[in-house]
Amino acid sequence: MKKRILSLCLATMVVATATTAWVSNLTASAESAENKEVVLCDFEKMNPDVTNLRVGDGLWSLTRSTEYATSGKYSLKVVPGAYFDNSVPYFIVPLTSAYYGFNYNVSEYISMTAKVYNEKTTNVKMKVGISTTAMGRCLSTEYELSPGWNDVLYSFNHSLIMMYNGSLEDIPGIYFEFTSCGTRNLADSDVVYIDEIKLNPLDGEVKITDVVKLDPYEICDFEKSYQQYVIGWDVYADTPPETKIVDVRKGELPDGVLPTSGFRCLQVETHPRTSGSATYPKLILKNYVIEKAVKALTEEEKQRAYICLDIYSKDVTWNFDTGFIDSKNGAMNSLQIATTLFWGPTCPKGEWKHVRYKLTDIDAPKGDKGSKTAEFMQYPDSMCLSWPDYFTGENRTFYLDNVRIELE
Amino acid sequence: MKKISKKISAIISMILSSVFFVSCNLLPNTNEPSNQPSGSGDGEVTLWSASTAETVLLDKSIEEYASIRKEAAINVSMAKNEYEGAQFFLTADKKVSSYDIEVGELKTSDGEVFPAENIDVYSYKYITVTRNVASHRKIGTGLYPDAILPFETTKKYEENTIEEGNNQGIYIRFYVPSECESGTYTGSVKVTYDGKTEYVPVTLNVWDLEISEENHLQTLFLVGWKWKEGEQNATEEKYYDYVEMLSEYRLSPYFLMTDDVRDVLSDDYWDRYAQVVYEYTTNPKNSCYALNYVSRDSYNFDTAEFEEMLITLAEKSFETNFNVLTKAVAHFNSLIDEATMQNKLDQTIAVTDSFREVRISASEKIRANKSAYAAEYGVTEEYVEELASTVENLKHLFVANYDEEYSPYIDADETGSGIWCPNVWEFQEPTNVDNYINNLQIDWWYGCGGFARDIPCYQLDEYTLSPRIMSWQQMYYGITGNLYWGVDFYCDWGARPDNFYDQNASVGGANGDGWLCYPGAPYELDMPVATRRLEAIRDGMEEYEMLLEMKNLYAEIAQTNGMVENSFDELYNYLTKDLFSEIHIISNADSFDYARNLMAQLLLLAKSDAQICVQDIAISSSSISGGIFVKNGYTLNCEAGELTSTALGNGKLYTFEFSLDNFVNNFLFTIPELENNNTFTLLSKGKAIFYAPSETTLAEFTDGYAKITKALVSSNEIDGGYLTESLIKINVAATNGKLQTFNMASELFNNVNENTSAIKFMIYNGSGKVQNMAIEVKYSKDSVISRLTSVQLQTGWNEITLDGLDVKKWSSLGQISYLQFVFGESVIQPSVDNIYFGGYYVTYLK
Repeated sequence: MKKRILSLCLATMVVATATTAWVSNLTASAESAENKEVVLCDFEKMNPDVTNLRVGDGLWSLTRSTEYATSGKYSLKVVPGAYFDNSVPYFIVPLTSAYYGFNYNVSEYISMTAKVYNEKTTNVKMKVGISTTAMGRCLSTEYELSPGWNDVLYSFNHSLIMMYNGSLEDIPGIYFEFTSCGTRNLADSDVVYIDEIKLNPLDGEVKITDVVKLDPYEICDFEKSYQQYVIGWDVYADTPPETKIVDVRKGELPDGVLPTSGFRCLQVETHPRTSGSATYPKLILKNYVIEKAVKALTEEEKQRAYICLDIYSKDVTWNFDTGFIDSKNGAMNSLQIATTLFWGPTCPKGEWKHVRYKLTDIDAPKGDKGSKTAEFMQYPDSMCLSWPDYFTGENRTFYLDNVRIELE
Repeated sequence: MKKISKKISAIISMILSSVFFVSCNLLPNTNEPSNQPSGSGDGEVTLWSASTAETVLLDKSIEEYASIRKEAAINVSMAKNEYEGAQFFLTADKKVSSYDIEVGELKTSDGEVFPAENIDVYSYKYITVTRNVASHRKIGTGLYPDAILPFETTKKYEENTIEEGNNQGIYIRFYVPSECESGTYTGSVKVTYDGKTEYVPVTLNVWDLEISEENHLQTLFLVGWKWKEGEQNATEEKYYDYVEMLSEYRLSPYFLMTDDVRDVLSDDYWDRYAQVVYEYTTNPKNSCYALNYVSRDSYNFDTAEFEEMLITLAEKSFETNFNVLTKAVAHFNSLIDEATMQNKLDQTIAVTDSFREVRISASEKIRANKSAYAAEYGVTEEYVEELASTVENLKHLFVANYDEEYSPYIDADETGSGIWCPNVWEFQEPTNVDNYINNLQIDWWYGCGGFARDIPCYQLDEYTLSPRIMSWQQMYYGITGNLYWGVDFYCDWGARPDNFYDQNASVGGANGDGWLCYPGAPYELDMPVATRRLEAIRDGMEEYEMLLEMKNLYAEIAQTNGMVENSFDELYNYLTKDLFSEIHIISNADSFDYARNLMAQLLLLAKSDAQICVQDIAISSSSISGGIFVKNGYTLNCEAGELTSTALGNGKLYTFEFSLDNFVNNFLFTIPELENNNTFTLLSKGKAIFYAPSETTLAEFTDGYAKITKALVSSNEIDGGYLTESLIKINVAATNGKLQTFNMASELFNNVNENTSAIKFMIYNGSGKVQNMAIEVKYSKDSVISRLTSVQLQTGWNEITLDGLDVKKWSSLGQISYLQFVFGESVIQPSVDNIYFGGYYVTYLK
């Protein structure tokens, strides 16, 4: 069994441009702790090592194999594919499972390592990253796998994980992503074998204080640096929308358009689909900002509170749907469950549309402990905006701003 | 064929909103394969069996099953080309560390062999049910048997252990090949556990009947939700495994190619599709498929792609000389599914318009190339025209409850393209049934959810007779198409379980809804793992084939001999009277076994040279009567008494009327000239006791949500009088905002139990118009009110029977606290006057 040390020359922190402005707000400290290495999966057991893995839409198959292994008899055989054009093949190794009784807090670990065998004679690209509660895949590092065995090391950037997930706890998992083969011909697919996926302990524990700072009744007005990370996506990856916080002072908004609060707002540029059937892309406002804003309200305020947002559609009159979703339970599914769905709003072209939803009209997500009848205000979760794909015409852009709470 | 004035209904109990979750109390199994031999331990086991109609939870005390528990034995009677199962249980008095099940060949007394390879052994897998909705509390919570895991796999993964106190179920499934000789085969199943050995005797009775290979019920069962996640495999080959599994169960998926139809980019896509369709439709078991379609904007489908598909399918039909479109139906499920509920009228109009246009356009193109097609493929122009006509007349299923606003675009289409496909629930209301069956003449229904008591459904916490009897009900209503929303919705409240085989599987409170099989991947199996529910569905569909054969045979005999045309319908009402009452299932294991065996026996007799054909069976409060046709050269005897006969066609019609002197009455008929299978038994439950109107019964009626005025009056008040001197007259006040109900509570109800088969009310409707009325019941141990029957009270006298009381699970229901009479169908009702109660009959079994 030939083993190579992976060249990390291509390892790229996709989100390496971590902003420094808010990092200074964090406090990190190391405390001694007896953290131990954790073998997440060695695939000697089907259940849960293989059966509990979550697969993305673009993956052909995951099976257990005896073809290659670095420890024991088995490894995981991964055949990336593409169910339809450009869908990204990936799978998630869970870090938490109430059923199997584990919940690995990444604050206690410095990295994940894995053995990966590339069966081909040419290099294969693979990304590893964090799967967050809003179905997002983020903080990826790309590896170029040489033929044969490769050691893969993925270091946790705790500060950025905190930004993306709102917490270092309850991280749904670590994802492995591959390049789409773009064809249904299995012979064209790469094949890799993975073994010994481990978490490597920190000498101590990272502690980061809450990074979410909100003004009174604010949920997200896109004025603060961390707010670039509060948006997640649930989309079929044809040509995913692109988001950017834009600043009117820099001339980044169309002429005459002003954010509804401050100087900044979120710009979302969408693209027509080039193939396949229509789906409903979802822009997700992550749970942790909504949770913080709602929990800051008094019980009396909750009874007369509205969640409000402003949408500006630049190119067309556009119908959106607004959903409040069960992100914790749906996090590693391709299905996001809207516990409450509001049809609309219809946003006229070229003007801000102010939308609001009464807090008491929103159902709670099921949650791990909550009951279905519990109100949203007790178990606040994520919110999403969705719209049907379109297939013709130019890109469509809309702006989102001033997600907030208003009192009756 | 209707039982219009009958009977039991159920309440829709939408208890969706308060599910709580209890963590699983089982340790996850290690799920590891092993080649280790059976270990030795000190396990102690009680072996026992129960009908497959019974659901035995893993974690309930064996004592709770005393009423259904039988000696450990397997007794199965079945036809050729049929699958049929039996179950037995190993209850571990002490933990069993390893057990094994072995089956061998069976033999008849004269040495005919039934090979072991036609006997499959499965162990049940148990899934957690933490809460039942109010309408599904008959079995309770606990660990439900559902998946049937091949026993070899159970052993491979070392799951052949039993915790102390648990009831591990073993499912033995037989398949009788067509060439098998009929007769009785015997043998045994060897059960070893922790070094001890026991044998379970097996008796297999093979009828000289054969189930049609061709499937005459059409189905569409959607695969497409979570099979990829469950199998961790998104290949087309894996999808075909699901299609193949459904085919084995006589079921069809919606679509024959998976949703990479989104990727209709490759030039050969529809060619590949046509080949798949050809291979699928040439299998006689596969009776239906939904045409694939492409939607690019969630509003309508792509007509250009659709037309290309239709023409490609027509060309495949020319190439193979096999019309692959005869089994096709369109179902635009992602566009206008349940459109009436979602107010999608505009979209419905757009989609149905497109569908009409594309059918016409494609058929015209086929016709325009008639000569060219005939020459190219060597087929006749008539055949090309047949294909053009098939395309032009394709149907689309409009899966929605009836809404007259949509009607012009569905059922009034000049080419008749739309088929209403309402929810099974809709059949609770007699007016709906009348509309669907008599007016719209629909022949499809669909299932999704299901929170009404005793309505047929596929939920986990319903008895498996429910999916089985659904097919019998389809015969009753003339529903030949059955659509079901999901096979592979491997989710609990939308979330993927960590362990598919253990955790709760609920959709809005409906346990197991949309989840009819399990992914094979966790056990490294190529095929998905089937369930008891799939077995029950197939069992019912096989019985439908027998019933259909019988129906056709009866029609043939009737026509030849001048019998009444609807003789089968009359017999069917008798045959099923203890299985269901309209849409409400009332059967238990015994009544089902009786009906199934009688069906088989009467089919054998109808197919015999004697051409036995039963008609006109009627059961009154005191007697049973009927007529039985027997071909010349054969005679009919009955031990109960004299039969009179008259010549009819090529035989004789024997008529009889016997009084019901006993609580349970069996009438054995014999055709002595037949060598085998020459008897059958008609059974009628006991005689009825009449309770006349009196001051006592008057006091039993009380206000409900509506005020009533009541009085004991002379029966001369009504035209023609009545058999009793007095009647109870009730006027029901109008309501505005509440249901128009009143109640009846009788001491008599304290004695209604498994020894009471029916209560029949005599009700005179003197209101001058037909009234919708339902009778509902409040059981002492049940928190909800259940509907027993919905009827239309005709003017004049009505007999309303609450049947099947003896087959209810009284141990879980308690007693009848009161009956609730409900008038009208809304909460704003005018007064209903001049309703007269003429007493009631109670039929006892003891």
